[in-house]
Amino acid sequence: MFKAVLSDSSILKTSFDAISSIVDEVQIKADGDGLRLDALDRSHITFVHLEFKSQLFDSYKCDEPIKINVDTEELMKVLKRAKSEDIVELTVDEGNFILTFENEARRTFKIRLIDIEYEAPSPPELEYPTEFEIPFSLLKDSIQDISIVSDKIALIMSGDKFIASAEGEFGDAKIEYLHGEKVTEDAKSIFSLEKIREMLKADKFSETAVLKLGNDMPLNLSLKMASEEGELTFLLAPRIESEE
Amino acid sequence: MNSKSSMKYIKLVELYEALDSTTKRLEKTSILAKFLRDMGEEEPKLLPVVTLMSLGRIFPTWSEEEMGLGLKLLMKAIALVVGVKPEDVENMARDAGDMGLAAEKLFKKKKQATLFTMPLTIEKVHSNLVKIADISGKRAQNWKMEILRELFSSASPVEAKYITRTVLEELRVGVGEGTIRDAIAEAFEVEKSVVERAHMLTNDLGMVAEVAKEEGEAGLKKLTLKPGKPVKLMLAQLSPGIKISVEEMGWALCETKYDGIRVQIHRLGDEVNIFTRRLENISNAVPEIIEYIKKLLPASDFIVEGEIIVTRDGKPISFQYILQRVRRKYDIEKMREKVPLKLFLFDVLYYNGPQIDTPFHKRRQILESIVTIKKDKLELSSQVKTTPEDIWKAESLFTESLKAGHEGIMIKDPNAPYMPGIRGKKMLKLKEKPETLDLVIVGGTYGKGKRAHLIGSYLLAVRDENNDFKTLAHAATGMDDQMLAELSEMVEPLIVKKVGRKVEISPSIILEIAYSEIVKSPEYESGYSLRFPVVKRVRGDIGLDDIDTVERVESMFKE
Repeated sequence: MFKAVLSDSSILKTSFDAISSIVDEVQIKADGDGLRLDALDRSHITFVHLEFKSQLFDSYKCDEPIKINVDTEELMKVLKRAKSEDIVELTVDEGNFILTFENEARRTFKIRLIDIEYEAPSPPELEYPTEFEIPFSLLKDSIQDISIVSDKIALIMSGDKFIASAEGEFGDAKIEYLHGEKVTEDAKSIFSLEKIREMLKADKFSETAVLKLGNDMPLNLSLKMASEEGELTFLLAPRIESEE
Repeated sequence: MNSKSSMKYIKLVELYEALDSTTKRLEKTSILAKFLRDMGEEEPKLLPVVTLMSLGRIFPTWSEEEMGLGLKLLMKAIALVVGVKPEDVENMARDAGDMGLAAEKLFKKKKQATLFTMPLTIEKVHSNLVKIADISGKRAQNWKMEILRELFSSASPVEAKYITRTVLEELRVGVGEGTIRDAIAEAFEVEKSVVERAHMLTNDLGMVAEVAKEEGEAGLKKLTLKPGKPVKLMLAQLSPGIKISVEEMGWALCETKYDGIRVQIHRLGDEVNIFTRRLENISNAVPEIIEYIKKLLPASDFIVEGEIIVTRDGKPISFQYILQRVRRKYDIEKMREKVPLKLFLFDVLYYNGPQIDTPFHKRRQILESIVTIKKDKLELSSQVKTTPEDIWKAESLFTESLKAGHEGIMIKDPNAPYMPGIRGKKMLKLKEKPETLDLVIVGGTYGKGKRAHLIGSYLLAVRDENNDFKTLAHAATGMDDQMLAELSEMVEPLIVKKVGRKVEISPSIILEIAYSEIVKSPEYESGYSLRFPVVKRVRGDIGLDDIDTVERVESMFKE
């Protein structure tokens, strides 16, 4: 038997806002420790890892491990109907993922479970030369700034500065931020702005983002709850901007 | 395919490239034969799949499955994987003149890296493309694109080229069904004609390859048609003339050739499906035909063949109206009233088992025994039995058919089997020449008895280089009572001379005349005459200077 109750719906909403724009179907695994999800988009560009520890929930019960396969768009449609003050209850039955929103009324939605034939590969283990924290809002603003000149973004570690920059046909943009970490190596990778924007839809997950950067390496962006009860991590393949 | 095959897609791509590298059909055939033989040994389960895929197909011809992925989404998928804008793909395709080449070029400069790449297997490519066809409903297009993106994300440039071309259903390696058939014959050492027959009956080269490999010629010979799966139609050659054709056959069954859509009708269980000669299923567009079939033919499995036409007041009307009906996807019920359809059946391919090897005259007997005729809805084609001694029967069927507004006649060998996909001498068509001649009335003959007051036959003439009129033919058919009366009235004031029932008429009224052929004739002033002239209409819209000339008739005769 599986049942999880959460007094705040926004964490689910914001997670799946991002996830549903990256992958069309996911497998959520539940066991005694909590919920987790690993998914790779069909183009193999973005990898998503989501984890909710059992302590995050107001009440959590899972007798035996189960797999919940759902269409992310269907799930998102339901989650959009949740109000922030609703108490969310997650259960399953034969063939359905059941979400109940309880407040003045008790509203129940059933989402059909689907067949997923592939197993998401585990993410590559990468050694990064740099790792630093940045306020989520600043990251989001930087993306907005860049988007007025280009659809690609260069993320650079240069000494004590983290730089987001872009060169466009009609203009350039550059955002510099003092990261305050001890960084021994510089790094630079270029990414698709659209892909980053998809990840940043999870804006209510955490106030800070942890970034790992390398030279022409995937971007590792991790959102962790202060309580360490939840984590949402993205891995994004870089663009290779060699000479035309 | 139950167990997964690890055969790489690049193997198939190498075959495509090898096929593309030569223009010689024999070389293509032996390259393909070798590939099929190897595949048959290494991955027998994949043989049907690769046979179809070497033609650039995912589904056999009889199948109605299609990927249904638009060009726009294809470009978007390429753009997303490569990391460029869809417009860049479009521009590249325009420059390269081929979407496949454009994909290859773009993939070589791929800007977006991936986190994982797994070498594509034939099975993965095939199963994803099948999945694309399976997806329907809301968001289908987007989902289809996702499945395609998955393939592209693991594809090398040259693989991307052929995936793109397979999606677009044009492989461009110069291999057709004929080459594949020859390759199957060569690879598995079976007779070409046996492979060809098996293909025509099943429309599934993948299956033919598999059976050829597993069971050889004997197995192929056992393949036969099944109700539900359309068969290639037997095709007709042009007849050089009724007499010659009938003489060659010994005796013949001649039928009216209707001007409509030729269809093959399958009943399997309770389901009736109607296919066109291009094997399109048009069942939904023609509900009344389905109803007639269910009502007027026995409730057992069969395949019959016929022609659907549109009539108005008993006369067939333009072919265009049928297209309107057949292509219709909505308002079908409304169109039913406006454009009523009629079916003429003329052959049976399956009833109590396959009948294709049954001689035609016996098939016709079977057809007659199973069909209940309902006038103006479902009828059998008008048929006459003709021997070289009574050619007139076929000739009069021809003129009758033209008069009734049909296309001409079919001349069929009564002893011939049904030969799917073959355009042979066992089935011939004789059509009214598509050209008509505009001729002027210069004389006529009054009828007898009740028709004594009407001119029943007109003497017609062409112009020569001096603008003199030279007679060419007598025309007596194609006019209904009303037209006969009207013409007589118009002609009367123009009569110059009357001898007995014959009259000489001052040239003024022009008729458009259809005919079957132009022949040399000393009887007419022009030196030529027309066989089976039929009056189409009065041409009030042109003048005497516009009518046809001896010169034109001469040149048409020489053609």
